[in-house]
Order: sequence, then structure tokens, then C-alpha cells
Amino acid sequence: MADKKKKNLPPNTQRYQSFAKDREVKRPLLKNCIKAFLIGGFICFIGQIISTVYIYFFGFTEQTAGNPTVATLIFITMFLTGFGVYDRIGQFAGAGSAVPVTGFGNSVISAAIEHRSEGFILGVGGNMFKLAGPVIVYGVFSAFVIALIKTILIQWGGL
Amino acid sequence: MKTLQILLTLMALIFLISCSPGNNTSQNNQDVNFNKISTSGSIDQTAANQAKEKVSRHDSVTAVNAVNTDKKLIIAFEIEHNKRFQLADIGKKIQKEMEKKFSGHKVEVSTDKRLVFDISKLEERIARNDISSKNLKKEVNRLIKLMKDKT
Repeated sequence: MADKKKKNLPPNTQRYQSFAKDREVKRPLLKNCIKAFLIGGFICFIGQIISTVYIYFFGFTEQTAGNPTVATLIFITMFLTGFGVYDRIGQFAGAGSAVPVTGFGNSVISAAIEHRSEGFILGVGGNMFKLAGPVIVYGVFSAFVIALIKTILIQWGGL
Repeated sequence: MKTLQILLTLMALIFLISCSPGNNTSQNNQDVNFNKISTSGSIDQTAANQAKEKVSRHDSVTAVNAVNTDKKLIIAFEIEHNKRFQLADIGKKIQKEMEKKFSGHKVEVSTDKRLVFDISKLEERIARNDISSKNLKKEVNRLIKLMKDKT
């Protein structure tokens, strides 16, 4: 689609675009991926440690340890975001720090901090889920669609 | 473009390597970790011992713990890490098998780490004659409740 749009542009613009493209700084894609993989993996590793601690020392089962683990990770993220450490991690790791649940926590908490000056109702309350809202909406929606597909397969597909 | 190619090849490689079946896994399955509780104690554990032997014959099982009262039998086992994708299937299969074998008992099977840990502790207490049959019943009921707990 992008190519189609480009063909309709005036020749000057096209020439400029090819000129700019040659001089653009290339994104280090592979390096970014490796960074994201390592940091994202490390966050999950910490989560696994917390989950194991809950199982062995607090009487949770593997089934039930998930909820307190997520809560603890978000709690840690809250401090890291407040002290400005998570921003640095995010700069370095990109998607590796945004995809795990800590990234979701960070998006909620940073929005809350940012809009604090506008008051608690219209500022914090109104803006807290600005970034996290879409995640919730489309998460719930895709869960609904998948549940629908599963129901159809089980009811009529005989799975 | 080139990096994308490298990435794709890497991903394909990782995918292929991780999916090849391991050939060094315990084939004759002699290293299954379980010990029978002596039946000389006050509480009869023959059903649990039989169940352990039966479960340990499965290829993928690496450790098994079981305890029984006169009406209930609880089994917890661990499986090889690369078989964890089939955890639910293997659990169901063993549950069915055990229900058939021990029709006189109410059988509960679990693959949860917590249950493995708790049942092995319970086994130790039984072996030391450290627990009365009334307490054992209570403890077994607590563990069954824990197995069913979802949240």
C-alpha cells in the first residue's frame, strides 16, 4: 500500500524520498531483537523466581501462584517507574520491556504520574488508562472472539 | 532485509532444534524418583505403593509421590520438562488408569509442584509414624481441596 501511495507523489518528492532513504540511519534490527529477547527473558525469569517462592514458601499451587506473581511484578514496576529506572530499561530493551506484564504496569503508572498535576479525578483517573485502555479493550475482545470460535468448534465441530 | 533473513533463519533453526525429539531421555526409566513407604506402620499404604509403581512405569514420569487413606488415594508426579506441553493429556490418562485400577478408592492425580512437595512431606511423616490416621485424613482432604483450587 505504501508503494502505491509513493507512485502518486510528485517527482520531486519521490526524488527527495529516495535521497533521504539512502542517508537514513539504519535501525539495528538484529541487535534490538537480541536485546529485547534477553531483557524480556530476564523479566520472565524474575517472575518465575517469584512464582516459585510463592509455591514453596507461601502454600500456593502452580495454578494459584499466578495472581500474586503478577501483582508483585507490577508492584516492583511501580517503584521502578517512579524512580525513573523503568524508562531506561525501556530505552534499552524496547519491546522486551513492553510486552511482559511489567510494560502494562508501566504504561498505567507513568500515565498516572504524568497527569497528577491535573487533579485526581480528571487528571489521574481520566488519563490512567489512556495507554492501557486499548490493551484491555482488544484483550477482552480477542478473548471473546476466541471463546466464540472454541464454542463453535466444540458444539458443531465435535472437537 | 539482510537482518530479517538472518533472523528468520535463526528462528527456523531454533524451532527445528527445539522440536527434535530427545534421544537421551530415560528410556528404560530406571531413574524414576520414588520410595515405597514401609507397610509395617499403623497406616496401610499398599495402595499408594502400588500406584507409585504403576505410574513410574510411564516413560515421561521422573518422580512420583502418593499417599492413601482407606477411602482416598492422592498421587502427584513430575514429568520430563520437554513433555510439559502434554501435561494435561498425561495427567488425564494417568487419572483414568488409576481410577480403573483402584476402584475402591477415590483417586486424585496432580502434576502440581506444590502437591509433589506436600505429599512427599506427608510420606515422610507416615514413614516416621508421626501422624495419626485421623490427621492423615484431614491432611489428605486439605490437599484434595488444594488440587481443586483454581484462584
